[in-house]
Amino acid sequence: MAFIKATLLIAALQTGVLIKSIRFVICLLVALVPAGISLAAGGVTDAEKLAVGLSMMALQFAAPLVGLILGSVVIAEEVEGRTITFFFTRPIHRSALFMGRWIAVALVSSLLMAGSAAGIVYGSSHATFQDTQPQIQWELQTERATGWKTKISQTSKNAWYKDEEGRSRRERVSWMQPGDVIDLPANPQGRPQRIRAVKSIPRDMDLPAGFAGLLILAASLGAAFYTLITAGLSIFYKRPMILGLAYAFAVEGLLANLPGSTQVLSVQYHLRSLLVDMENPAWKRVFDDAEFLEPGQALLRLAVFAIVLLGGCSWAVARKQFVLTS
Amino acid sequence: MSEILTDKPAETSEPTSCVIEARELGRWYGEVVGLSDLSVIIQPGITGLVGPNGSGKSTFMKLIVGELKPSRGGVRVMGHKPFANRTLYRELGFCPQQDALYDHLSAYAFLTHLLRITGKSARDSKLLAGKALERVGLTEAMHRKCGNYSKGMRQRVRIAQAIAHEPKLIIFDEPLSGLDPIARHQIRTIFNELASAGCSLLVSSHVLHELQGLTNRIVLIHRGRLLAQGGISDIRRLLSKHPRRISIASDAPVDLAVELLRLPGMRATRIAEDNRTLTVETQNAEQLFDELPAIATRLQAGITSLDSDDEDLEAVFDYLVG
Repeated sequence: MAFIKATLLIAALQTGVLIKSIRFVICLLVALVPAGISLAAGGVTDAEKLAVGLSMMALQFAAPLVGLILGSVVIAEEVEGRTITFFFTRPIHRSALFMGRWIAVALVSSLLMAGSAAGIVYGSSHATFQDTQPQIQWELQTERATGWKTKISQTSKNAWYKDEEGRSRRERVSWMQPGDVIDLPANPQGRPQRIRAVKSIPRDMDLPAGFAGLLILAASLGAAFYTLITAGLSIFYKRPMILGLAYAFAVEGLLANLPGSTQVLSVQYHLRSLLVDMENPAWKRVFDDAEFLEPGQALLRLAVFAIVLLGGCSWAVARKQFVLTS
Repeated sequence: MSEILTDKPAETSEPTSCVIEARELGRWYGEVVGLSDLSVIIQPGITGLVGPNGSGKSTFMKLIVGELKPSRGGVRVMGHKPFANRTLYRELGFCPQQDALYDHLSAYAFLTHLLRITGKSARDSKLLAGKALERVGLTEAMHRKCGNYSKGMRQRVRIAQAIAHEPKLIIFDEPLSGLDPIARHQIRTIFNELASAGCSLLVSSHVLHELQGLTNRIVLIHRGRLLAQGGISDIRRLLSKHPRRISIASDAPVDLAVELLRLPGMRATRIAEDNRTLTVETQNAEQLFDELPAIATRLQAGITSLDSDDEDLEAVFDYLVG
């Protein structure tokens, strides 16, 4: 009980301190980047594409960076500020300091990234769509002896073609309905040509069911997990941010994005497993044929990693001598 | 002066009654020796730990409070091995040398928080924090943020956190260093009150005279080893045979220099370019320290700091070592 009480009191104090710090402001700005982009996005044609792209940004960039910036204060800041003595000469278990301070940074970073994820979801759902009308797929056809032959098939608003004199000309096609035909002047070879509307493609302005919850879970868990990694480094190094950045963006960046089984060694892979639905074409375009874990399995593995790391860090803090310079 | 120049603990003392017992204690940082083969027994009451900067005083204190582990030998504090010993920390207070505080917190919030995490109720924590801050004379300023405190006030906050939980043994690492004479007097008064209340104190200083009037028991260490242990008068007599250089920051350094030159044993005075710092060299430092408060008051010289040159003290210790 005494350990839990000390841990929670330290966590409460550290949370109060953290949200008034310059680090918090920096992290808030980092978390706002993907959310801000989604909120400011204009001319969007597909909500899912926007949300998928920004989710990747949140998981690969914002969550690690927020986790690293906040996690580095856990022990290193106390050693650097030479205030660790005040805690380590009190009748409390030394690991209560680590646990309390980690809980504070994990909570704050999780809330920041949960807010960021919610912003992405809101922004993607409420983006200024280029056109809410369905898109028209049209074909530019020329007449041959065997009939009309399709030269081009597109979904753009305007069709470009060449007239008999070889000049480029534009025809607006966005108003057309399936089956509509526009007869054009003959092409440079003197053959008749036309534009034919083939089909109507509805615009995807809705996100998949459950996407919002999964993104918030993955982003907040990711940030908390990266705080734990940096907090662990902060026990041993005075500048844990540098090592943390190298790990998150060089080591993880390589492991998580190389094809093959090495992906399972990265935190990113497990976070993606929580979110990615390979049945969804928007995700399939990003990850091609990659395979992911079931969300429950990914969550379980992350929990086991976290418990092992927390245990190791607590053990190290309880035994390590922190040599303070006067 | 039977204990002077001995590196073994006094055999006459009762091991069971001592508060600190170090046996062949050694601690090094890589290849740098912080403390080497120190054996000493410290009895209840106030004990002064004296040595020049780098002599191993802070290392010894960090070993006593369990901030560090010994590289060799051992230390027992009130019968306990100190490293991460929660039982001991209920009875031990530590005032570190470094000027480190949580600048965004008020002294009251800082102390209350430290007391609460050790298991005290919110009500008791507030009471004890208020009592400790009152004892160090910070009641009026206790709700101001520590970042806005003067050096003397910050030192008093560190002392308050060391005494707030009413420990039986308190370790003070250079508590008087860099303070003005008034603050020194206030803190010495607090130490005497604590001792009267039955508390044992170990107070370190690199200036022997700072401990004068506080205790008659001195442990002298140099280059990580016990150099001498005994009465303050015996050690003072040894040190006074050597010239000392003392820096005094004052509003009226010229007037002060003229007056001080009249004292016996004065060899030279020099006023620094800042027109505030007066450096005097004397063969009778004790008389200078005795006379200085009265002279400064008469001249209204406004002394803001008083420091003994470490290099000179080092020379004195070298002289003692032979």
